[in-house]
Amino acid sequence: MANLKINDINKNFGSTEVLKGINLDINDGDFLVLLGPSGCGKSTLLNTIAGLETSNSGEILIDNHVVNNMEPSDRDIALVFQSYALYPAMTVRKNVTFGLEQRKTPKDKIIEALNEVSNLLQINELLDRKPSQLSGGQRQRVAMGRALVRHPKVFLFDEPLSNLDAKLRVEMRREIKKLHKRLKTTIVYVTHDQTEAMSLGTNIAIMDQGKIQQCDTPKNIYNKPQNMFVADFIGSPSMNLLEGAMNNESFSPNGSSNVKIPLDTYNFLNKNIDNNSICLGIRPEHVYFEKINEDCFGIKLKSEIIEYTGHEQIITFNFSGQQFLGKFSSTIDIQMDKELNLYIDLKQISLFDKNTKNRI
Amino acid sequence: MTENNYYHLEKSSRIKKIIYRWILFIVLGLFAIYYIAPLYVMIVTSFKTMEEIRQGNLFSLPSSLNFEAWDVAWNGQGFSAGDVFLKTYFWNSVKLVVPAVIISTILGAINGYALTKWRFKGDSYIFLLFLFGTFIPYQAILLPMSRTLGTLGISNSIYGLILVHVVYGLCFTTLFCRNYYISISNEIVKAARIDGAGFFKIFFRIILPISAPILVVTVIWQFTMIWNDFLFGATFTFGNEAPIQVALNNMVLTSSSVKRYNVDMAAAIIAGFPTLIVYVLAGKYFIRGLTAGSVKG
Repeated sequence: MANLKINDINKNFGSTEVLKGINLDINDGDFLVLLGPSGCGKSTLLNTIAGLETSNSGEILIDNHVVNNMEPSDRDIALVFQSYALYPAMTVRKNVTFGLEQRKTPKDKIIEALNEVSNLLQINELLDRKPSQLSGGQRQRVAMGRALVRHPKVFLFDEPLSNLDAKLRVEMRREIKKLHKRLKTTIVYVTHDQTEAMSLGTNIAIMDQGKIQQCDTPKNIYNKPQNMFVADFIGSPSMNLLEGAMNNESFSPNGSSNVKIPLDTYNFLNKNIDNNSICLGIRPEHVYFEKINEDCFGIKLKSEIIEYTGHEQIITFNFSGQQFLGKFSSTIDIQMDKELNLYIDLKQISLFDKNTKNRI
Repeated sequence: MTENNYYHLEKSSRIKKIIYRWILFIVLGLFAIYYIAPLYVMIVTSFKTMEEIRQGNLFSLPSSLNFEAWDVAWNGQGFSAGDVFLKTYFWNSVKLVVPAVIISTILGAINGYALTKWRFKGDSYIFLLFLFGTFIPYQAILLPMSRTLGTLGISNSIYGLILVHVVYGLCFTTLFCRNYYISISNEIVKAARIDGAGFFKIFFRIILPISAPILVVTVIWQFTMIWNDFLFGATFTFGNEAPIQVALNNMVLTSSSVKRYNVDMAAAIIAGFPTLIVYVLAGKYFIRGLTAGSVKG
């Protein structure tokens, strides 16, 4: 167990910059999730931490030691791959113990460690099988066993659940969470699945275009996105971003200057901005049909499209030309093509500067 | 439509099916006979006496199983000084083929592994050179190779011939193995590196055990190429060091006044036999290995 520090890492592949000055500080026992769209550099960052790729500049510290020039095997990390990367010709037993053998661990220690992880992950009956004789979930377990058996300082996961079917993914997700609770090892976990990120991480680093857009707790990421990318990326359906102008503590969306959404309860980070290009963000789930608290603000919108998903329904409204989504329980009846009274919770809004894309 | 109509339709389509099936079998059968006929003639001729051959019935069966021609082809008759027989040269070829195949296959596998799993700057250019290497005609390397063998002091020896075949075959074996290994997940190698294994350990413990399909292909390919080679054998060796194909040629061309067709046929069968065996034993894997990598598994 150890902390992990990443100082100003840059990485180019030829002329393409993949990582542009990444800084991260991961405390001992933290579960950091790297989340971002494909091609954002999250896997490259993970490989750089593992030592499978070298960075062009910057430092990586594990347990306060610079590991930049160390071999992957000397960094005391373990990596679980998306494809599991089990050795096809070896039995599960050999797969798990291969790393210990390479480190010349005494035989009795190896057996002890093997027993420990095979009990923990319930792979006892699988030990004599080959990877090809295992199901996806079992392979996943073995891959984790191979990582766990060495008691590494840092665990790295590279989209470990994305090859599993939906049901199994949820189960394994919970198992990883349990495992972390029990072992309290530092974990860096790469995924593009935001549910996975939100439910697993103690911290989430949202990456885009080789930069970290926001690194914070899941709650803060969800409720206080630092910029429009994060606001749009997290949440499904994503946050409504209404373009408009701000004056005298109120916001008017473009095309409906008579609507004045009061902003006196909003905590501004920065008021020194162009008041005419502002985005107001409100999540579809914070739109209601009745006034649920004192901070609700009423608006009248026309319903246009309904998407029924079983446990909820997503309604598309027309906010004077701008698309505006609301998410409601599927038990209520909603009429289409009709002006409806809606309430938005002003405590849940976010304001962004449209030019810098940053939260204000 | 009535019940009766359906009955007739079903019946006529069934008859059609049977007719087509038989046409197919007959065509395939004719092709099979056409291709097997030369082998048949070789075999029956090798068991005939010269008397029988002179009667001119190419396809007739021999009157008795006469192994004399085989004996002459293998052991020689031992009375004339210029008598050529295959025994010595067969073993020359075995001593040549076995090490040459093993060395070129192993080196090709290591090359393919390095080119796909340990990418380095300029690796694609090196691969391109290997690819070009497969287009070099035999004749083009005769002169430079004989200079090289002379300098190394191994001309007219099995060792020299082994070197020639290893160098010439390396491009092919590398190409085969590289194309196979490119389909193996790189993550396996990464996992092994994190586990602490190095270049050769990963190769021998993890990559080689799953290489059987492509190794069979390279072994068959190299075996056939080297066993059947005539040009290199004829150029770089003479006399007692020659491989079997050279000896076969000498035997057929230099035998005295009369053409001993039965001996020639027996000798040709002996010279072709090992390749035949390799194909029968490993042919199944040959196709499997060639198509491996084209389908993701």
